[in-house]
Amino acid sequence: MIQILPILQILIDTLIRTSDLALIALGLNLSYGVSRFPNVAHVEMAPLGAAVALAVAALFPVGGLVGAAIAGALAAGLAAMLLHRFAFERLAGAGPASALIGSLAIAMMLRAGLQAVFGTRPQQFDTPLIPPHDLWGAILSDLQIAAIAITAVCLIGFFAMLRLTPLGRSIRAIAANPALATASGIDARRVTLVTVFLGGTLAGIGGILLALVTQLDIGMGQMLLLPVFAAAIVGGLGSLPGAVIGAFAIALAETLVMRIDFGLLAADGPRYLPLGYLTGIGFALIVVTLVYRPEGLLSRGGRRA
Amino acid sequence: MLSAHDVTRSFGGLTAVNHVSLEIGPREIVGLVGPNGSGKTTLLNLLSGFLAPTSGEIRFDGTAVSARRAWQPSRLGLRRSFQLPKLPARMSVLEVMLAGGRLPAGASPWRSLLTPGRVRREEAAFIGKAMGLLAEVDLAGLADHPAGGLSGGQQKLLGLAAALMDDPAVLLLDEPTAGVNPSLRRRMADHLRRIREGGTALVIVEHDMGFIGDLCDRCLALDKGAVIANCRPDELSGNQQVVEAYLGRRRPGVPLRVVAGGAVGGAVDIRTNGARA
Amino acid sequence: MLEFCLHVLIMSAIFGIAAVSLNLQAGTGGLLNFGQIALFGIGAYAVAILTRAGLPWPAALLAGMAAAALAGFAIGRLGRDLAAEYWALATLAVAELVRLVALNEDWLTGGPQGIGGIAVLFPGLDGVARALATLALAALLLLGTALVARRLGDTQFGRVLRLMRENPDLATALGHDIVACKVKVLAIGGAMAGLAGGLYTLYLAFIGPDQLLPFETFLIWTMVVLGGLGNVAGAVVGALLVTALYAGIPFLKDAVALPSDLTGSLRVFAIGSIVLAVLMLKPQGLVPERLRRLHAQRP
Repeated sequence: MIQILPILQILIDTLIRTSDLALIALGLNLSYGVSRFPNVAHVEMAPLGAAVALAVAALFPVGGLVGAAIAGALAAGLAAMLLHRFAFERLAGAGPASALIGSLAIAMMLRAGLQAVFGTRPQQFDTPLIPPHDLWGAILSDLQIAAIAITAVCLIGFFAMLRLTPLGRSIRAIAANPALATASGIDARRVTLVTVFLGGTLAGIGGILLALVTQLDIGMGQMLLLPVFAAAIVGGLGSLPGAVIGAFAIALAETLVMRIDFGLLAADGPRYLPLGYLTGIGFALIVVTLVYRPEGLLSRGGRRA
Repeated sequence: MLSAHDVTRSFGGLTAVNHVSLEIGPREIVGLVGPNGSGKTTLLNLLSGFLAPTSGEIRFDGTAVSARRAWQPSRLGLRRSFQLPKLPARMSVLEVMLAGGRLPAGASPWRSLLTPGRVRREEAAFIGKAMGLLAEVDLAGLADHPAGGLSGGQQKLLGLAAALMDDPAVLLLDEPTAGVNPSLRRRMADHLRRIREGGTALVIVEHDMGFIGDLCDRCLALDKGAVIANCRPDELSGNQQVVEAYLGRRRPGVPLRVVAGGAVGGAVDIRTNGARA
Repeated sequence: MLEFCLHVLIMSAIFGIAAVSLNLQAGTGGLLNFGQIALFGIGAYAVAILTRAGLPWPAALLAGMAAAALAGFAIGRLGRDLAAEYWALATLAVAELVRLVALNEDWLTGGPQGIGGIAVLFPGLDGVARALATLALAALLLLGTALVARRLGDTQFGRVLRLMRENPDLATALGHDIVACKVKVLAIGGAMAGLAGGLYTLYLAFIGPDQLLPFETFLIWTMVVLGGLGNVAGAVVGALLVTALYAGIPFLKDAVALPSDLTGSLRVFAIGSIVLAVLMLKPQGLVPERLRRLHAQRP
């Protein structure tokens, strides 16, 4: 059975993993809402943002960590927007299959490009080393707290923007019914570009936070790809609250399944799922969701042919 | 032959087809009419197995029609056409015809590889049949033309011809004259009469009352998902309910409100969204 | 130099089989199988495990094909009526799951180290002679696979697949069980991919989990897209071009005097740009799908 005692640790681990995934998944669903195909290149905005932030922090220490982070996030947003404008607009017109393959190509190229420029060794931000806190047996570091807090602030700010501002309304309109939105005077193309920019920025912030808390591994995109997609799909592709809920669901699943003692079934000592299968939990959830409930938990997104 | 027993179909809160029962006998031509939103196309989808009823049952030749095996009614002799044919651009007219036929040897990967002679003979026979059917609708000269490249009216005729490749007992037609020019419309009526003489019953969903009047033995009129009349075409205009259904019962003074709900953030009230982003 | 050319040709033939397989699934059937490499990998690992257990390689190849066909069948039953790009994501996830199993189950797959020390093909021959014999075998199997794919595409089976690809509702309306068709084509495609994987293992005498990375699926997709979706000859041409490019990059890099650790990135860049260029400029690929004319058979 799942060990009850470290329930606080479970909660913390889940929160940490949720905040790892939430912003990037949100960005993915945001982009999906306007471009209407699953953009595999999106997750590469995370390491891109982190890499740019790292470079800026190293080359221009003036702005400090915050300045570097802003630069990185904006770079990611800009990159996403440029990619959309010059590649995806054309590809999406050729059908979702071409768009998916094209996005895979671009994702691979981005990863290769980052590797070429930044090298393959993981790099770290220059952050002070503070020993982690011990809360009633659960371990939590300052950086992790900061990451969760920043993620929460970004999420709240984003949803506030979505609900309360004209831009937010336009985004929702385009995502719900592009033809109708255009007919009522919304400049679909411009709003789409802004939306994609926002999505990229969110992913960039997510990547920067991840790199801050652990390290910048250029292969971050590859490692994040399926868990982020899992979060987006489980929550419902295209659903913005779904992205956050999906991230939570994946995080919870990963944390819990890793703690299940299968040894109780075989009664021959404790047996846990090997760590190598951690990411496999997300993959399995993708398959299960797509087979049984493709629209995910919240949205009407998953199309049946 | 084809019957619906107390069939209802709802989509969430909306009831599109409301406790409909009907019977189609051999060689009948039955029209299915009604204003927009009356449930005609939904009923057609239910009858052909493309949609599952929320309640009730549909039977063809004694077998229950099930949406779980939507391909089955077609094999048993119940076929349908589509309002917007959308024929493939990368297949020729003749290929689409052949796809409409039942070629068991050619359709099996094993037999395609192991018994090429039999497959060839089977295909030759069906090509003969296909060319004959194409000739009847004046498309024989376009046999190698891309199917998707045909005009709308021609695509409808091709759809019809392909459906006939398997000699169906009942053919359901979804607005066969939509988007078709008047001269083609007359030829289509002739085709349909000939098809009936060949032994196929027809159920025609239509808006063109003139077309229906000339062609159909009887009409079923739908309004809001329920059958309100089952009579000869010339009796329709005398039916008060039918007339009311077509002229509508909208109350004046109620503003038009468009609500778009969707995957992102819920409903958007377009009416009040005056500000540009 | 000769050895290098032979190597490129053999790899082209092996991946040509995988490309023909993917072309049948995606080009003819419209099935965006992003897990093709998993089917390839299952064949590869099956052959490795069985030959190490003593089975002669022709039998192991057949067993590998059967295992991969079974896997294809299983994938085909997944998400019966999902839209194409969603199904693609599911297959991507399945392929990653397969890779994780290969990476973790040391007792079966040798874990991260993979399985090596496999008996070589044609032990009686040496060097160039052995390479030529291997090439002959691979080319022969490629020819057979291509002919099978061509034949299937030309018959009613292929017709139904193409209709299913373009307009599944019409296919259903004309009495075709598209789920059954999907499953059949994935099983057949799986068998072909398993054959390619098995040959790969036999040729290199090694298989490891790195061969199951998504990049490998992407490589096969590039071959098919380049050659033109729906076109058997195109898939073979694409396989040759992509393999040659992939193998040739290190030479190019030397010619332009770039540092060695850029080789990997350069390869990816080259392959990626090709796909993008084709998708944006000539989406039908180099050898567009021909419209089938049934002239010769008409009375």
